[in-house]
Amino acid sequence: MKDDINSEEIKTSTFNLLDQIKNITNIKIDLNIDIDKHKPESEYMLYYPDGKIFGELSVPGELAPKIKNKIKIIKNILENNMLTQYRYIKTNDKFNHFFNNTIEGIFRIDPKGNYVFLNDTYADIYGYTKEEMLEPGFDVYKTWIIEEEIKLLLDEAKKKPIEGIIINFKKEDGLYGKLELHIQARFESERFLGYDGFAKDITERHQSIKSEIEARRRAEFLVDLMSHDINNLNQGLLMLLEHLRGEEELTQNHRVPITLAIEQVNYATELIKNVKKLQTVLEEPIELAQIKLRNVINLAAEAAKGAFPKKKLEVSFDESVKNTEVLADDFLKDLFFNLFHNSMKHSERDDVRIDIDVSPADIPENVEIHVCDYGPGIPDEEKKRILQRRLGAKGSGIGLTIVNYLLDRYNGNIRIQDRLENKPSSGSRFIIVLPRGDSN
Amino acid sequence: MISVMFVDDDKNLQQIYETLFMMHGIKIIAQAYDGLQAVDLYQKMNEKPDVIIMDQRMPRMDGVTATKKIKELAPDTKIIFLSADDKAEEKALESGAQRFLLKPISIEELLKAIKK
Repeated sequence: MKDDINSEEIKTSTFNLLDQIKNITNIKIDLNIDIDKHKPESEYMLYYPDGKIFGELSVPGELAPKIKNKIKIIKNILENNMLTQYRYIKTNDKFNHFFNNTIEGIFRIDPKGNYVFLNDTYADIYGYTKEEMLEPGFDVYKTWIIEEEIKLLLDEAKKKPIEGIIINFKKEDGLYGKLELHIQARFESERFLGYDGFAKDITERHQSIKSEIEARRRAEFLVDLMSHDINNLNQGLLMLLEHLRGEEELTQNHRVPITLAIEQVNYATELIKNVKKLQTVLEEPIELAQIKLRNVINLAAEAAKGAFPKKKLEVSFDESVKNTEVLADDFLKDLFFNLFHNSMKHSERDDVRIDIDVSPADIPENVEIHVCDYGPGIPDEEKKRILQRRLGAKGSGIGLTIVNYLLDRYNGNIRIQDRLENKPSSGSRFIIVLPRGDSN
Repeated sequence: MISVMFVDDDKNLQQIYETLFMMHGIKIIAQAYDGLQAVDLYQKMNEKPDVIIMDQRMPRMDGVTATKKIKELAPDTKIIFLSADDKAEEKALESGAQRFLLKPISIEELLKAIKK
């Protein structure tokens, strides 16, 4: 209870009520609120609802017993009134606190756009006080800056409620901001009374979204510029190195390093391609659909063969693969491509074999795809590192980073085992868990 | 001997093309460093090249625009795009180019495309 305000309100209300009682009863009753602290409390003492002394009722002269009873009744009436007032103020305080501290600003305007009602949050958005905004002549045109936009908006709101429209607004200090506004017209028996609405200052959110878009554009531009210019350099390098390698008089001591240099150029080209792919994976919106696993594996295998023209790749899969559909998108090809590419890259043999089969996962909504190669295998420490590879992780090559991000995209996961249990040299088994796309 | 006009804003690459192509029996009869210069040169040439190797991203005028202009002048001109811009393929082929080759490409493949 806020004593300074509430006591005053209760005091006024009590004296008003006493005046009315005096008029009706003609009893010349007084209420003295300047009580001498040393005076003993009398039976006509009036108390606040919290027990504090309010004052003392008195009538001039000797009190007849009949009057005494009447004073007691009046005392009860006045104290009950104080209690009612106290409860009303408490409720009102709670409502005002709630009303003025909502996350969104609440307002009501008349048909001409003048503010007739608003809360503290709404006034805070603009940097005015509530009282300033409620002064005559303070209208929405002073806060929402584009006049044509406002007129159009108010016309539209008359036809149907407008939800979440973004408009420009001007603050008291002259700065501009963005407002998310909900507004609807108010009618009473078809008579247009004005508008009610609520609004939220989204200036900061708007600016952070703008900055994020700008940062993305800049990153895209830099990646594009870098990849374009490096590939131009690689074009020159590749042609010169190939030309040198073609020289008939070249000794083996020269031919080997030139071949290695060509492989390095090709590796740099592949790296650039992967950086661009990763950028696309991270930025493309996620829309998953049913994808036939067999088709994707075939496409990925063809692409991997193209990357290593001097090696052979044989990808075999059984009926379980042929009948499986998963929930993914076109990037799924890149997931398998990167796994196949990795197996081909690390295989010491020129003919690379990969076996794929499908088995049930822990939960029926998922499926496990086992991709097994017959390569040199992966040490246990490296297995863990591969699975953690995300942006910022150390390590060359980003093929498996792409795999990890794609699995995040599909809500899947991967684990790596030895192809044959506890035999690392038998090759690797990549177990990919993906959500099922079919009903089987 | 096949005659070629190279259009690329990278002077180092132009120099490499010139050196290597002569060794492989291809005559470079003109070099331009942007699309505008390429169109201008092409108009003025008495002896037209058998093949134009065109880059996409160049100052003043890009390869797609230059290709359209050259095709308007001589629809039968064989233009091969050689670009590091992987997004340009569709537009390049629409503009009338015969092929689109993505940099980097081996000299063997480039020669094969020119001679085809």
